[in-house]
Amino acid sequence: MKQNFFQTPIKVWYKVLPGRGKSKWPIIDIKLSYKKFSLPQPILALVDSGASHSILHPFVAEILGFNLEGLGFSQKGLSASGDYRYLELPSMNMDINGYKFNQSFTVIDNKDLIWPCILGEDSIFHSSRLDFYKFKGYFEVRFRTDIN
Amino acid sequence: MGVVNLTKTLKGKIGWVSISPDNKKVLAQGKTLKRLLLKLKQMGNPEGYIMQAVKDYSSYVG
Repeated sequence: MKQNFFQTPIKVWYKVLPGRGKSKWPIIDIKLSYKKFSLPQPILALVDSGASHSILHPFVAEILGFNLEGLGFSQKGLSASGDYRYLELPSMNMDINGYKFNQSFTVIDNKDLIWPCILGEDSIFHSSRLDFYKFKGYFEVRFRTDIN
Repeated sequence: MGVVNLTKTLKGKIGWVSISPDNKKVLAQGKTLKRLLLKLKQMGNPEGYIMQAVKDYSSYVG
């Protein structure tokens, strides 16, 4: 069995957000850019092991230069809450704590999405080891040394 | 450092917000991301991070 090697862990503290039960959320700062477009500050991304795809909020996609109306939400998907329409963006640059990746995102036709970004299993779950210690209030990201 | 509690910082805020690096202050807010970015530009793009402020995150199921 091939052994994987990892960078020093990055410790990320959960964030408590408004709502019932003072829920703690595994969220992380990410920087995104596409061609000449970028955001002036990092955005918060929910690290979601239950999401098969990584999702970008339509407003964020527009700031990164994508004409969503022109591209069209032509594809149909199915989630636990029903049907949705979506489109897939070409890969863009993502930076987490200085580690740089190419990442592609799905944009769902839903401007009410509460997260600027959701990192699903097609993202850092491939390039790093993630250990969640919710009971301790943090999670750790260890990027693989063979590809990062 | 420990768990970051943003409930106080985000109290009464709705829309797109920029939070200071120490998590204690909303630097700017806007109904849309475009508006927020415009405000940040006028402020000289200070350091911080961007998120959406909503009343209740706990209803989200992912």
